[in-house]
Amino acid sequence: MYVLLHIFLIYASLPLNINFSYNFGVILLFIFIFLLITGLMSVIFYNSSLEMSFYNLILHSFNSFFYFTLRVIHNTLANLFFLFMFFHIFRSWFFTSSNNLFVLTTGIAMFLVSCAIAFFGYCLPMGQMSYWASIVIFSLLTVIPFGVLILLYLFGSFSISSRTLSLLFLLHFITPFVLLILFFLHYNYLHASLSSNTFKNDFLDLTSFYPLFIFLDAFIVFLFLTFFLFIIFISSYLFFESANFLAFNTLVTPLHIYPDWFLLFPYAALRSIDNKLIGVFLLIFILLFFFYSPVINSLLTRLTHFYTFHTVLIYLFFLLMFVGSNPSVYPYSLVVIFFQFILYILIFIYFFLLLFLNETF
Amino acid sequence: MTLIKQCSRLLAQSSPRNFYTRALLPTVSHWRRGSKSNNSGPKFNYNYGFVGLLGAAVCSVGAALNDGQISADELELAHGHMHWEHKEWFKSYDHKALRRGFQVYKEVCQACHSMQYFYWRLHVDVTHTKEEIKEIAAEYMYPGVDDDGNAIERPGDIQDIMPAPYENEIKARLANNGAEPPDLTLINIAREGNEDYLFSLLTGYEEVPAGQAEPAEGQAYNPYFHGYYIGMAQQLYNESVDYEDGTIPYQSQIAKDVIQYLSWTSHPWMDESIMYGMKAISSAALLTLFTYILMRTRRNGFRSRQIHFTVPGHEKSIAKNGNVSNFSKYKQVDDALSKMKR
Ligand code: HEC
Repeated sequence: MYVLLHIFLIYASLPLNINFSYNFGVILLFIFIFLLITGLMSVIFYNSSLEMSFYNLILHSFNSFFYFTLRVIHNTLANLFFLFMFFHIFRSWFFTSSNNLFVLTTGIAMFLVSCAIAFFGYCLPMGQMSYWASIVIFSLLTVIPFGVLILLYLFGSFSISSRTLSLLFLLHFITPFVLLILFFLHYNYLHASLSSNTFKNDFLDLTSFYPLFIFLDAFIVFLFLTFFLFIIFISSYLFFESANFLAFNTLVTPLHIYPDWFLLFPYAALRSIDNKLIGVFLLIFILLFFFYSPVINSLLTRLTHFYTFHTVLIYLFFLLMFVGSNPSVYPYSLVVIFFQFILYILIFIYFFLLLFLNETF
Repeated sequence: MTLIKQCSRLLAQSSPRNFYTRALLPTVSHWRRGSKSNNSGPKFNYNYGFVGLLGAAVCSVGAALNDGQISADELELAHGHMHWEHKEWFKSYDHKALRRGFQVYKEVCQACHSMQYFYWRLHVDVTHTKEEIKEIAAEYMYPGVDDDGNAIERPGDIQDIMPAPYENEIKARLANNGAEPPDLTLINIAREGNEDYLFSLLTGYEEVPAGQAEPAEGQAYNPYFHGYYIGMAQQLYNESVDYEDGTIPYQSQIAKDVIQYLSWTSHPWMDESIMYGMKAISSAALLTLFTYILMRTRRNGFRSRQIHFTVPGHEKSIAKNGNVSNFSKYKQVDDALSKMKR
């Protein structure tokens, strides 16, 4: 242990010029560990029967302040995890950290896995929104061949039932450990390749972790902790969805079904077209487009830095979020159509760029 | 269709290579050209194809907007924004208001609405004393089993959840012209707009404006409700309850009290949260301050250091300019080097 610490703190060398944005990773690690702990702690409060889960959850959280806080912490941390994940990704775009394809790919895998975990977790209370969200997501399976059969197998019945909920609970429990494995890969390969340090082979301007960065990290973690404690104790319901405080009702479809904020941008792509199959393709396309954008960018322009591209992408990200968050009724449906149009133009441009620009340069 | 035609014509007019390189990626073409010749300086050539495309998009959206008709019954009035003291940071509930709100709930709302997630005992030391709550709970009958195993009705206990007015959903619907009164425990956080929406809803009943359809049997007109016609008639009027502490029961006062009570039932741990929160946040803030100071003391040394690559024998001249002190880490090496040279 001592040797490990020594290696980690003294021998691990890192460049001196990295700035605050390189701390998002450590915050993510911190959040992830706390998510694991609070998740394991709240396992004993959960009842995975379809009829009882919501009732049980609310009764428990009104029974004990401890469980209430645990639930708030778990929810808030999950949301912050995604927030910092996006910060981390955007940072990697602007600091060319995504040059390393392996690190990039494990990162994307981690994002996708954590989306899945978030979805499983979102379904567990079985409020109104959980129920309909799980219906929507599960029905995406029907686009693949034998999808309906797979769907019925996963449901364990003809619709969402207690068995589905048990399955979701199991998956929500298991998948974080997959994330943990991916994390070790991500971290190991990052440090093996000395990140995106330009002076890779010059060990001139490197420093050890201990005297400087450990305090920087500690400071950032405590700063984060302060804001985090503020959220969980003072505005506890900040990240809770109001529609999910109703017990689910199979007969009443909510007027507007929408996922959590971090899934809004692929959701906008999914919803932008009537056809489910094309919608799913668009969803996958948008995800890959966003996350492999550094690679695409360097392929297109052969430049390591091209900020305009990423700035436009970030604007697009927020636009898609806005589009996805609106219900598809009259005033907003036009907005949706408009951005759908822009999305198509974007895809169009993207392919033509690939065709023309590659040969030009 | 016309839009697509227009776009394709505009696209055809512009030569593809110019289109992409100039209009969409001006910086790339600029950099590229700049690297080949010295002909630098930004070159933003207007590409009419692109401008036309954008224009066409904007126009089509505008035209579509013009076609749309606003139908009044799909919209609802936005709720007002009131000042709720318990929603401020580090503020607690007004417990007198909670007690009054409980009275309103018990005398008015409980006729139709259940509170199925809430225990009687949670009121203890918040709105009432233990004895008072025991008395209130004993007013209601709960299904139970006696010593011989027969089903009986027993008086309520402090450990019970609050009673529901109807036995099941179907009866609730039948009694209210088909509209099911929702459970009120979480109603405050289950509606968009929270307290503000509830206040607007409870006090916002109106005469049906001219041109709108008359509400059906058992319905009332409320512009804040989604769809306007709500299955709950106006419940709160001036003096519809008699407060035991002598507060004057205006409609707005009653609404304010009952909403504060409903807000508490949806977040019964708020006072505890804030109590723990103040301790936790202040200690975390202190730790942040300490680590900040530590970090700065370590960091400043690293951040303000300079590295000089000097030819041996030149350190002095740099020192004269005041850039580097003679107390150099590399002094020994320098000395050794200069000795070797000699
Ligand atoms: C006569 C029975 C009755 C009484 C008494 C009553 N309600 Fe209701 N309430 C209803 C019914 C029925 C609905 C469902 C309305 C609908 O969905 O159209 C309802 C709906 C509501 C809603 C939900 C509105 C929405 O946005 O869906 C709230 C909030 C509410 N009541 C609050 C109260 C409060 C507070 C009181 C006590 C002051 C009260 N009600 C008293 C019958 C009643």
